Amino acid sequence: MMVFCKKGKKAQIEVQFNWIFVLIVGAVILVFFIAIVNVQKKAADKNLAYDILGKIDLIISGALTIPKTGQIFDMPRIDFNFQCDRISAFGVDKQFQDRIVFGPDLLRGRQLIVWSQDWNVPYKTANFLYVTSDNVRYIIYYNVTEQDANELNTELPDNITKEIVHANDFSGLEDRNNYKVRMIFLGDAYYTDIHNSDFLPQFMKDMPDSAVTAVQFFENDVMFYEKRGDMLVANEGLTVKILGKPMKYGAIFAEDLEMFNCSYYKAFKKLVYVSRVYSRRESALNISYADNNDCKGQARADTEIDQIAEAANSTPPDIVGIESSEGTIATKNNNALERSCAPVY
Amino acid sequence: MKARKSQIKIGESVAVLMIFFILIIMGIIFWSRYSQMSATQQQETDIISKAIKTSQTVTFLPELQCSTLEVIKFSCFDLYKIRAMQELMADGDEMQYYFDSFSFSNITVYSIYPTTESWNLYDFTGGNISGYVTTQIPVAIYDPVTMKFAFGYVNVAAYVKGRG
Repeated sequence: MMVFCKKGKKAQIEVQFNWIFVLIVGAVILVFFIAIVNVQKKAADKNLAYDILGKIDLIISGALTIPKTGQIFDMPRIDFNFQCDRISAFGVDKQFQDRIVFGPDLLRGRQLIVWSQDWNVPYKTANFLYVTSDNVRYIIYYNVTEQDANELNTELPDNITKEIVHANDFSGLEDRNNYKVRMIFLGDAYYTDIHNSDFLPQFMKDMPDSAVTAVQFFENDVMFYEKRGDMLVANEGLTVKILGKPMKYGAIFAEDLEMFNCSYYKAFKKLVYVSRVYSRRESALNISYADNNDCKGQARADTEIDQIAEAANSTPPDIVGIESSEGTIATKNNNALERSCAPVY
Repeated sequence: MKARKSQIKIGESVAVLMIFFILIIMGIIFWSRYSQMSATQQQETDIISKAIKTSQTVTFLPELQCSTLEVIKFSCFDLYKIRAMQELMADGDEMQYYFDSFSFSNITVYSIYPTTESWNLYDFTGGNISGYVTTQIPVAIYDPVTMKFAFGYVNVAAYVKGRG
């Protein structure tokens, strides 16, 4: 009997030990494989992001070489974070370097829409690139000037989700499940209306604050709005003077004032460096035309180009100064072409 | 006798586990070497694509392109713009500005017909380099005074940074 009991205990201990042993080793193996899968998943995500961002970079480079074209690209189901100088996903980012790109802070949707425009001041200075998604809704709001709204609607690329809305129909707008809504107020939109807490349609009030933004144009000035609670709030006293239509489009596509300003100053910096080249070129042409009175001296525009460089280099850029020099340069350029001299641009 | 049997059993289990882990370790070593190799290959591809991207950027630079009014002539550089750019790169803060676009590279424009001439626009090694990848793109070089074209090419050498 005693022997039987001893044997039974031994067997019990052996069985228990085996189970504990199997359990511990099994857990170790399981943890090990889970860790490997996690590491591999992270690596695969990074690789995917790297590949896609590389392709987006190529798309952007390509779009910049073919201005005035809107292009559509299928997008993977990944959220891309966008800043004025980089685009990123899964912690991997791709720098835009000196390229001037405007877009929302988040790109999500089925299609990536890329559009570019030449920025001429008056000579070609840069290509502006606009990036957005088919799931961002652009609403052009007007009170009286339907013609301006129609004109802007025609100018914007066809592939984006855009619509024109009269002030009276605005409150009746319905939700279309867009992750972002951008309103574009033309000059005649009433300031008091916009600031009213009843202004926004209910579906916009229900959207997160970051999902609803607006921009308002008054001739050459632009003002940015952000949603706080149920109403829109303007960045008071922070109107920005814009130069040319491509910059206006930039304000429409940029997420907010901060992101617009980043690309805005990048553009004027580029203008400074391009102007320096044009100014040196003009001085050299002046020397080359030493024996040709029609093409030298006052015919050359180095002084006005220097003025543009100086005005572009100031903070904020002196838009009025640039515009006045632009006119003189354009006249001199036409005169040079008429006299068969080398044109300024 | 039974104690010996169970000792042998535990020994067997430990041996199986050891072999299992040895196989896993070997797998990890193989996998990390493979990853290293593919990282090197990726680096080479990156350098080539960087060279192509830089040459593309140079070709479409408004600072160099020929233009009449706002119409740009593709694959054409204005001779006076090339000279102006060369002068500015030599004495201004331009090198710093263009580093964002050109990074560690050498950009030279060559005229090969009817005259042979070259203009080095940008050269920044940033210290140690272990090699370079070159791309060449043919361009027309236009003299706006004589209104004549020359044939040439732009040579972009993207430097490969050395270690240390």
